[in-house]
Amino acid sequence: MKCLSRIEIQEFLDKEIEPSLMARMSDHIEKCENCSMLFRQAVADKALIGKVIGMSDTTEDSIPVPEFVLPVLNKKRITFYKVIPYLVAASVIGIIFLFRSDKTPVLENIPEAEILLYEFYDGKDLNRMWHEKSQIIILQDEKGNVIQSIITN
Amino acid sequence: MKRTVLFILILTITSGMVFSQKLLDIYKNGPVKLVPETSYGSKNNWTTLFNLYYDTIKKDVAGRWNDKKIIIAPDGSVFMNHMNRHEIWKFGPDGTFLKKFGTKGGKANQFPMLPTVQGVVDGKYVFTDDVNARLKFFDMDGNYFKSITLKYMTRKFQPTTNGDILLTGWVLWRTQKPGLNTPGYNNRTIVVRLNLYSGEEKIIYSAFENEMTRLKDSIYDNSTVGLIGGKYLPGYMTLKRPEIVLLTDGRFMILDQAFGKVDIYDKTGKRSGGFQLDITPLKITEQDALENYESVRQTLLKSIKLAEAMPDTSVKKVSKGERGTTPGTLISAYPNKYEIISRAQDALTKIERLKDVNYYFPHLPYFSNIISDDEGNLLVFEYTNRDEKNGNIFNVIAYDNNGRKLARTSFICEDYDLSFSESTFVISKGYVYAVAKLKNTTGMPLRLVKFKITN
Repeated sequence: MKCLSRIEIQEFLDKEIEPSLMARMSDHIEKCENCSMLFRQAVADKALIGKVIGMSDTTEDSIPVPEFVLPVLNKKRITFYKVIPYLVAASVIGIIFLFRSDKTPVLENIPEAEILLYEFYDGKDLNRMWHEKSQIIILQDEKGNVIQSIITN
Repeated sequence: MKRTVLFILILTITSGMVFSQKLLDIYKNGPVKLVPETSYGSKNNWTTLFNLYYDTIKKDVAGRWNDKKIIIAPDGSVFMNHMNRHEIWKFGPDGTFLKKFGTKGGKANQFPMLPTVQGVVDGKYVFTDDVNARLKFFDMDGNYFKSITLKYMTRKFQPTTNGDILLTGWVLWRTQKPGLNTPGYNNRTIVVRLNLYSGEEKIIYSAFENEMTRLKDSIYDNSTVGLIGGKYLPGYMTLKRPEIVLLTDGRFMILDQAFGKVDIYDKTGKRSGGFQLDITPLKITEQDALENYESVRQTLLKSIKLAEAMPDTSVKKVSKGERGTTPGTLISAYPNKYEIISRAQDALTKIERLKDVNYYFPHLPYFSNIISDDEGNLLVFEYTNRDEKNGNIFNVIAYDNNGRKLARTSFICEDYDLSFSESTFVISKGYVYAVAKLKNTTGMPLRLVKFKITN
């Protein structure tokens, strides 16, 4: 399995990955030093955020969330002072994301490459291409601009 | 008189039924031989007609697969887009080139972008489409009728009845997950019923294909290189976009390439059934992985070689406002040859994983192409083993609209080199019309051919 990006690590942590991939990713993270480091970092971030907003400080949501039991008719009016803790928590989270020291620039993939890829394969006799071993290789620059596309065979 | 009319009516209906049965029987009795009609198009000088053929084939940048797409009119006439000339050509029922219409330009009856013929509505209007979804309608003699411009990219069209056209469209939707600073792009696919006369559009199906366009299958590293071509071998499934087949009766099917699942939708876009393709997809072998690695490696080396031959980009030029630059400022030439070389060299260091068969999806897609005949059967073309060297034998699985398996057979064509895509291989009234290359010829090989379908 290839190394995981920070985003994929976060998705893994948030269990947003397809179940079939979870085991492979888990195995990879365990074995790969780089990904393992990224994973630990992501866990630390999540725990920090959880702590700030008064949630569980572990990666597992072990505390069951009770069902809403207050009758709607008895619902108390939400006053401003009750909202203040949440506003503070939200601000802290925002500051964390804004000033994280290890923040690395993550480049945006513009869809040009995807469209080019689609245009290349769409409507073609793919079995023939399979036999001819024909495919398209696309090189992008740092900004995701396509700087060259070249077809094998 | 009444008896004569009745006789003709019965003859027409029964001959249609016999013919219909015959095509099915041919599939069942396969292999299916494609025998060219020698008189078809015999009056044409193919060398003159297709004199720009060699200029448009095998382009290195996304070769134009539909450069000469054909559609068949009810009377057997053939309309072909001749893209590089911004023209539509009409061939008579006997294959003789009759006329061309359209030119490059911005007027109503002209084509500002490369046009593609997409169908014939109600037997009266042939229409084209372009990259900006401008639909232009002409009568059967090429006289301009009307235009309709849509607000999304289009893909497939299927005229049905009473001026209705079923079509698929798509747009990329930029998404941003909370807490992430990298956007993703989801593909929204829609099926639309458009009426030629009223211009009314109705979306009857809409779906997001999550993360379709995130380059999960690429060898991608934020800091260095974006290279597409990994994981799925050799990249055919990277988009994982389902294939939509539009049927002449207004229904449509959505086929999953990865798992072979087929869903059938009625005219209103409601799911009405489904089935599983009875196909065993080809497994990816270690040999396939090694060959794919070598293919990618050779391509990257070729990329470096081509870049080295480019003009020196260290010499700056004055901007004319291209690529968002400020006019009058000094800018570098584009593309930057040194960047291409650097990226390709970097990519070469990252392709070792392509040697590992476990890196890939375990099998090829369930099908390579789908073509529907005019009896409503689907011909689902499988990927075939590379050991089958005869390029004109392909496995075909025919289904009716409800997913009943009818036959599994193959096409055989001895004289022509065929390409089984719906743009250049059209089945109409018991014949196959194809844009194909004649084998064993020294001159211009490209032809418009009409094949009789037989066993």
